[in-house]
Amino acid sequence: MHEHVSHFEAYVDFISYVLISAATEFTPQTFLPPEEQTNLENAFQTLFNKFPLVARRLRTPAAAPELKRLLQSSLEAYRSGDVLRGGHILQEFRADLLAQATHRG
Amino acid sequence: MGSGPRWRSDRESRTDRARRTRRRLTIGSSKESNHRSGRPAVSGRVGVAARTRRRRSPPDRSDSVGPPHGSPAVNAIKGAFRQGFAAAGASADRDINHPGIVSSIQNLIDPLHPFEGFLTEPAISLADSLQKVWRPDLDEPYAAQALAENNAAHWIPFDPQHVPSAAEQRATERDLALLVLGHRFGPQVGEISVRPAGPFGRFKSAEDFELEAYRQLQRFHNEAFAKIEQSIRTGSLTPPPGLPQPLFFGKELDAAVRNQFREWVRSEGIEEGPTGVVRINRRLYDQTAAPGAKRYRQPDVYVPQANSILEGTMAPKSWRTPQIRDYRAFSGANTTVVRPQARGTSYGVVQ
Repeated sequence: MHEHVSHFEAYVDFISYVLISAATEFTPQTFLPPEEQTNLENAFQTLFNKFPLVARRLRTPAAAPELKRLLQSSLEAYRSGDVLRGGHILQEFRADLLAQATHRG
Repeated sequence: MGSGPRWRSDRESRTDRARRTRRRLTIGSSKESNHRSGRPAVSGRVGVAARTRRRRSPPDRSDSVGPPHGSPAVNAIKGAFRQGFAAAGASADRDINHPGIVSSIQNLIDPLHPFEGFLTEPAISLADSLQKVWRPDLDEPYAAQALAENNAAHWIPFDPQHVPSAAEQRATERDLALLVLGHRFGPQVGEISVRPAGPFGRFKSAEDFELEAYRQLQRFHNEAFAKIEQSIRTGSLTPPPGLPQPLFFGKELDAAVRNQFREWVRSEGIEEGPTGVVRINRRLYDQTAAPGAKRYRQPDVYVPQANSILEGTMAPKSWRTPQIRDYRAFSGANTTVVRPQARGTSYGVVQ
């Protein structure tokens, strides 16, 4: 699932896609089979599962738990139907992630 | 059988879809006539005129959900199925009459034209997808060898009590489509010929890929533009302090489109990377710069073999734009500007 999210930049781009899709809809993609269509749950599962891709670029590894907490809060807000809050927390997650990330070597 | 209603339901929906689309792939007798004329067999995607010529008024079988188990159509495909097993050296003791397999076979056959050279829309799309799994190191009988590799994963297990999952059914149908197309009709079935996958997967050339890449990029831009517009309007997406909204909009658009494009390229089985045949947002260095200068640009999509760069943008860019000039100077490639249709047309940059 979401195998294209295979490096830091792809992860950050994926966040953008989740942000705008969770606020509107996850449009079905004709080039993907049904079981690979993105939805809120599997999108966040990917963000959690692939977090190590970005964690290794953090200046302070200690920031990782807080970032994950933000991710979890965002998911819970979306699940509860609070799209605005879910989006804002996810944006905060992305901003903190980018602020914490080192430049690629 | 415990799985009866499930299969029936699925079969009916596919049949309905086939009736709606009325898209046909002619094989068999059409191959012969095309052979005489020296033209390729009728295609599933083009050759509309040929299809129209061959289309007849179908008998009224609106209550049918596929040919019966013992029909020549099903038997013929079962024969191909057995050949596939034998050629693959696989065990032939699987139950060809397993209800799941029979249902899968029925789904491949147009109910209005029981095996008179017509396959259903699902079969055609399955055949299309098969091009992605074809590998150049597989010789004929390619279907059998592909099966030998994927046998365990794809066939519905031989267990009359087993309730097949949707994924199992789909995989089995795919294998069956491969068998039908491969063993019975040979490697050439018009445009949907099963052919070796080159670096551009199912695309014949870098240019063919680039054309489809452009179409996909255009679609992704349109889709993302509308979503971002709505997200900003409803307040779920807000620009960070100090970042002008148009700039924020553009960055979000670029990122969301890149994600979509990566996913599409991946789905096509095409390699993306700094040295891949497709490069998404990868650095393009100025080869003429002084050593250590490391001047570079990052085009959205670069397809070196097509000598083409696809650049997504909200604002128009022209030959006078430094970025576009650098693309040309660094790579020699032509640039096509892709814009959300809500903002204007896409176009090729002319020097």
